Amino acid sequence: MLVADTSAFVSLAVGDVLRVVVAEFEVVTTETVLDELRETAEYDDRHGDAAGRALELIEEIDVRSVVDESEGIITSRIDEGEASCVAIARETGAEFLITDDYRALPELRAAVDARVALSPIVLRALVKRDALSEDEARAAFETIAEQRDWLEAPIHRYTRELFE
Amino acid sequence: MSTKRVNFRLPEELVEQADVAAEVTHKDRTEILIEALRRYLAEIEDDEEFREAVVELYLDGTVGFDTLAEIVGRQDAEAVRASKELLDDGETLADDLADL
Repeated sequence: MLVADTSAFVSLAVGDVLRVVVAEFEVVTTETVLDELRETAEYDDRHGDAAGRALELIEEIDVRSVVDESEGIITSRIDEGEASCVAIARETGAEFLITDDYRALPELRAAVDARVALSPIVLRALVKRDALSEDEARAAFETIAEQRDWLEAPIHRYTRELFE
Repeated sequence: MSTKRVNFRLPEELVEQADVAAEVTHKDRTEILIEALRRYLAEIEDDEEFREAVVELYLDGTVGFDTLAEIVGRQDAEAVRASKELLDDGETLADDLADL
């Protein structure tokens, strides 16, 4: 089981691989993330389009409500959606928490027992499962990695080594 | 603040200008140079391209975490360090994820 936050859904949908991800894995998320996807889908940009495509797959995703809200910690780096993912990861004992929020990464890693991974790692796993070819994974990664800010751009270049 | 002696050569006209500035402001040449360098570093550290380049230097192992943190701030430095750790372990993580 893997828990995905809003940034992970948007990235994987931008890369046009979310359908493969939900076919290959048991994907769990929260109602808070669902709300964030609906809000994002209202924007007329690539992230908005991606959130809309993610919502089309919602039947394939296990959307849960958090039993104990106090389990999710909201900080300056962990937003409400991520906090709900922390809570659901703890409640379900999920093996992985997938996020593409680099800035929240240190706090998310400290908050859950689950292993935290980024969307490029999911792409690598799909290649290992023969669900994607190397070329498809690389193309998806490059599409996801477009339009990064100053902090993410060098991390993206470093991530590219995974696909070489 | 501890100091360190360094040797470098400056163009003569810069030294002359620095000495004039020192005379006018009642400081010595060293104080003028320190202040100028501080201002320059503060300005360049606000520049995103510069910060991005420092992140690159950290990722390729040229500079350490403390240097990164001084320039981009501790929280962003921790984000970069966590990303690096995770990506360095990327193949193992992907293997384990693939086995789910």
